[in-house]
Amino acid sequence: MAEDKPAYKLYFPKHAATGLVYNGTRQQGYSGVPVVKILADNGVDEMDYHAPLYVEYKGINSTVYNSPRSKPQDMEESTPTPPSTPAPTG
Amino acid sequence: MIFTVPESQPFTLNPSSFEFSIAKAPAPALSQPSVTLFDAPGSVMKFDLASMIGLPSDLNGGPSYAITGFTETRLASAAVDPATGKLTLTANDRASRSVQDTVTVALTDMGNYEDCAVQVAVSYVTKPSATIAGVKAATDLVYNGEPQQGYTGSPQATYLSPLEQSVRDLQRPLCHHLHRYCFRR
Repeated sequence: MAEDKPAYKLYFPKHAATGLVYNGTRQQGYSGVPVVKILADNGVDEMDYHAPLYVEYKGINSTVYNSPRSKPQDMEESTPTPPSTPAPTG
Repeated sequence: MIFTVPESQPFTLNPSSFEFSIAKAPAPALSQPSVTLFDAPGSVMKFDLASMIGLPSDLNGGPSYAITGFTETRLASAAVDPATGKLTLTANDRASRSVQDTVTVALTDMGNYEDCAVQVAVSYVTKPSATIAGVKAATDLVYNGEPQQGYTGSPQATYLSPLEQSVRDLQRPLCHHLHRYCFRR
């Protein structure tokens, strides 16, 4: 059960991308390599968790968009699938 | 965007999502079309504005069309279908001819682009006269109580198209009227 699991923070990306303008191409919405700091087996040390880590997109502010869940850009075996034609939310 | 880890992992992410937005692209650079109206009172012509201005293919909805203004030198009215962009222009009944009018059409509600406007330049040409050929007046007609055509041959009309500067055949059938005639005694 998910509620029984410890929750760790996603360290990167720290923030969503800003200043994006529609340019007809896919835009990722964040920069950096996603990484999660998790506790080591000794319960004290922190380890970086990189993979697998998935990203999906959903529309906000009445924007209709739902992407299939995919691995983010840093995953070697996958390619990102950010919105292809996201409707602006401003 | 929402980040997740496989269900098999012994932890979850919290927080796991970021919100971001993508602003509309600047207004697209559209063609500013020119159209020609016949210089005749009440002359009405329709134009497919949407196909004349080079709209991008990735609008993501819209646009909505609206007339925001037009000069009235020789133009009585201008209307546009908000959804299709079909533009209808009607010439007024003024005797004087002008060189040009301008109709401004606003384009709004495009999903991926900011609002913009196009200016339609309207010019006027005199309606051409057609020349009829291919017929001869009938001779030796005798009253028989029936309508008689009064000519032989197939009427054809040609005219110099002011819009294309070329001689054109009149495609539509010519109308003619058959009359009964009787001789005065």
